[in-house]
Amino acid sequence: MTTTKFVDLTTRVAANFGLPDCRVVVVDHPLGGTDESTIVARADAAVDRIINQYTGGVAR
Amino acid sequence: MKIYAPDGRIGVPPKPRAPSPAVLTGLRVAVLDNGKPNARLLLTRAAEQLAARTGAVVELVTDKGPGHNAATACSDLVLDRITEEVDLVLTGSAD
Amino acid sequence: MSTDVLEIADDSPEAVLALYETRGWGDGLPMVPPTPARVDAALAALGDVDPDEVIATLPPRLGEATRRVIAVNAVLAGCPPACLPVLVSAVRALARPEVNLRGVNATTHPVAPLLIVSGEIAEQAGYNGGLGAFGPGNRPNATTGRALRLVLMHVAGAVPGPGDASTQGGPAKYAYCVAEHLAATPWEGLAPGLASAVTIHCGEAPHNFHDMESGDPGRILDKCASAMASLGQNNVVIAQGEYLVALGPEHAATIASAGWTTRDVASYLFERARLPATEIRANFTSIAWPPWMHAVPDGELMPMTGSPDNIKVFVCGGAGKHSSVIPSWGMTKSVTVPVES
Repeated sequence: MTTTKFVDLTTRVAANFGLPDCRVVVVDHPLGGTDESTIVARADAAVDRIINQYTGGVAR
Repeated sequence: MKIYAPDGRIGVPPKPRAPSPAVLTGLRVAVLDNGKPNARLLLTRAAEQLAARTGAVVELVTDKGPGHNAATACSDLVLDRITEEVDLVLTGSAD
Repeated sequence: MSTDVLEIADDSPEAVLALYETRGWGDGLPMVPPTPARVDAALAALGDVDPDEVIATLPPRLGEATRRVIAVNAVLAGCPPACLPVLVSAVRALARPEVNLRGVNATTHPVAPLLIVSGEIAEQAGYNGGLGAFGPGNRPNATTGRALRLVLMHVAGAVPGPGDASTQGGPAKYAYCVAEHLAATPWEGLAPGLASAVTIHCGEAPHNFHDMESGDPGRILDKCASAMASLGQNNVVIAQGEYLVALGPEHAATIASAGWTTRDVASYLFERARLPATEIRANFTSIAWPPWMHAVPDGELMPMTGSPDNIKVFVCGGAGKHSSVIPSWGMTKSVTVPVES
């Protein structure tokens, strides 16, 4: 999982280390300094996309 | 005229990613906390919800190992454990 | 040969800049065209060695830094050929695992590797460890520092965004190179036993401290300790983090004349650079301390690093009673390597 502001870094580094097809799911930025209920909501909203990534989909 | 490029070649060949399972039911999930604020909360909540939705099982929630944190790679000890004990890993790369 | 050759209409700086910009290369400043003739002249300074041997593989891009690729970046930066041995050695040092270059390049912190040149090569190649050592005005310092940054950007891929996440960046990321002023060093220096050496320390830009009144080492170093004891530095929560203390020659002479060694300086700063443990705990939840630091009770003072060994001292600068301290990024260790001859 990464955040909107770090997508480029995440995908580039994954590709550099030999995983250009790394499964990446993006949530809103930032995580640091964000309250617990907002983090939980972001996690919940990402679950469908995580399942999709694990089972072969590509939506981030 | 000619000039050189300054970047040098990259020596790491790309690897294919692991095949996707058709269903997640019964698969074991690990959360690898990258050590950044709120990462464990985000990743663990997402893993728990994924397990609830699919019938997967959250088997392991771990940090990167003693002496390792957000600024370092994961310890071999933890990587070995993940490799042996779970089928899927959820981890983070961000702030 | 592993280095790509590009066609360009002419060798003007404008043409090079335009071509490089389209490929995402460069640090924003004009560059000297790295023609084969210029690169060969730079490589000649290294003697009879394989120009295409891989010196280091640099993350996050995992680009292979050969001597030829390093020389290309040296030419781009305007580096005199005599500086090539320093630059190649610096690249070798950057790849040492304790430097943690992957973290240094990818972090949101403004960390930059400081390159310190020690010994005979500093004098032979014309590096400045005297007045104004951190710059500007000296070509070897400026261009070697810049060349190292270009290697990081081009070979390591430490480009803002895809390879360097530094929130604000920093001026030390343009060029950060200095010589150790051994002639004014009352101690043995950073590289005892080595004729010529390079030290890499990954940290912030220097923070000045001044004392124009004291003949007392403690009073001088209390100003340094005060600059070190800050909630704003990574070291406050990372026990392995280092401090690099760059003493001006006059401060160094005063301290040494009282019989102090660099170990005494480090020990004193370790004792004096402290913050209340309560205050640190109240401000941070993410803390990388060993068990003994976690056990320091609230109300007691906490050192800013886990050991006096993490406080390094060297001498640079000219006349005047200014010195500086450079906090590290944290999860990195300085390294000293011999210069390739």
